[in-house]
Amino acid sequence: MSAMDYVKKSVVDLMQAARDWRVWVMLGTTDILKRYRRSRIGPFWITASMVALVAGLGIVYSSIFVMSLSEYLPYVAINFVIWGLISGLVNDGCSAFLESESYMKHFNLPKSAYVFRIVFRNLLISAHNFIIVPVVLLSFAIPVQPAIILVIPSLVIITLNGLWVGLLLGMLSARFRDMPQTVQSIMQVVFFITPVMFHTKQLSPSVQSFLDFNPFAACLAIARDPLLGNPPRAHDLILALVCLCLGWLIVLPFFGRFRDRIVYWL
Amino acid sequence: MAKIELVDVTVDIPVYNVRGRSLKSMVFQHAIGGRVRARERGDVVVVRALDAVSASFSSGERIGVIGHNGAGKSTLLRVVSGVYAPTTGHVWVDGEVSALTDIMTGIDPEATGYENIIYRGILLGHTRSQAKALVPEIEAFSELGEYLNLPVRTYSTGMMMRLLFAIATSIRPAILLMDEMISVGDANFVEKARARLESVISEASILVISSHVESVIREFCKRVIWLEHGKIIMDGASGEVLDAYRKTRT
Repeated sequence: MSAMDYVKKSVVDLMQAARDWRVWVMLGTTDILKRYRRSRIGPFWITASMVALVAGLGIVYSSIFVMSLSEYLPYVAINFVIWGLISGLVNDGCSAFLESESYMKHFNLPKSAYVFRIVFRNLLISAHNFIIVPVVLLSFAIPVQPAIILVIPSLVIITLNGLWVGLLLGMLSARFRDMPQTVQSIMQVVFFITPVMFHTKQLSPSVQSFLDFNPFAACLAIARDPLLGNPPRAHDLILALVCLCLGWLIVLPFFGRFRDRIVYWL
Repeated sequence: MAKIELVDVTVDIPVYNVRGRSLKSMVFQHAIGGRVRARERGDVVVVRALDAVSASFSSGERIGVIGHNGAGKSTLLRVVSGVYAPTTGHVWVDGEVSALTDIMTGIDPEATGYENIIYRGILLGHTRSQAKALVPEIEAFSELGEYLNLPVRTYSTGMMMRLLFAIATSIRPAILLMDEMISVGDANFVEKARARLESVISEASILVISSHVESVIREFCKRVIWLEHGKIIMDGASGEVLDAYRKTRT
């Protein structure tokens, strides 16, 4: 089989998964419901813990960085909400197939449906976190610019990046069980070299130019900038799109080649 | 017209993390299990679960699969259901397949009986309203009444079996695969369950059932495939194959 045949196989699987959306929407939703069953505020624990994190961090770090709270807190709050989505997609992507083992061994669903499940679940979690964004914008009286609408295409780019990352890491993690731990450790480091808590402006120019090649920083920035009223920088947008294209270019033939093997690895 | 066609189907199942390097030089040959052999490189052990199996099943056939534990019966069913893609060989399946294998899969213990019916229905490819349409019938058959409003973790084993059985048999697939006869322990329920299962079986165009209980196979199947070490030893009329199978066991 040629690479093109594998690409076709991947596309067929992805289209079937899109057609079977009811299955992954149901699985993703019940994943969240299961986690918060019998709890009084349920999934709003996600929102509550994000509020606590952002408030604590905002107060302490604004004083460490000698910035005013009204400047720092909205910045860090929005960053954490988006970073939660990005890191969630990457970390959870590792378990896409591992945690669906029993389903994969008994139902003949398209394999990518299990990655859709993970992506959908993370979007749901993120939706709970996004509640704090308008609250922060309003309470710090940040003017809402028309550019804010650009957050939507940016989130689409992040989600589509998450989908290929999930397919790739999901497969690698099913085959090589050291993968999830490796990814987790790497993501911890990535967190510290991505401007989530700090501002790129605070860095020396040489480090800044180094961070220009951090795709995580680019994905973060394209969604954060519109929420703070600025259109995304062309540089960030290009880097995020290059990631998207390169990622899918690699994953489509790879997924088509190993799709049928995944169940044997579990 | 439902149809299943297997041509030279071989399934190799890799077993990772088998640390015993001594396995490398060995090729096992036991009464039970598939053939275990080590691949040339690395310490990946490969079990040949099916070995060049060819067979074709057409509409109206009732096929029983017998063999020792690990002879490849379940693997054969998983190949037909599309869960396992064969390592080499080809499979053609024409018709909607449903497997009554692990009926526990996808049951959420914290969700109510009603919710679990919906979940299961969606997993089987229904829309939410189609899944809801299954409810009255399952309600009536399982006789669980108000308990369907409670989380299934509160159910007794017998109640759980009733629900699982009722959900599993609420579908009417063209090709029905069963790994062992599913049964319910409850004495009052047995007859009712049996009648329902028989109606599901009779409505299926093709039935493939694997079991090592001969009486089950004798009752439901006209044709029997006898598997050993992943190979078909015999494929023919059930009386003949079962007699030959029994001879090797005594």
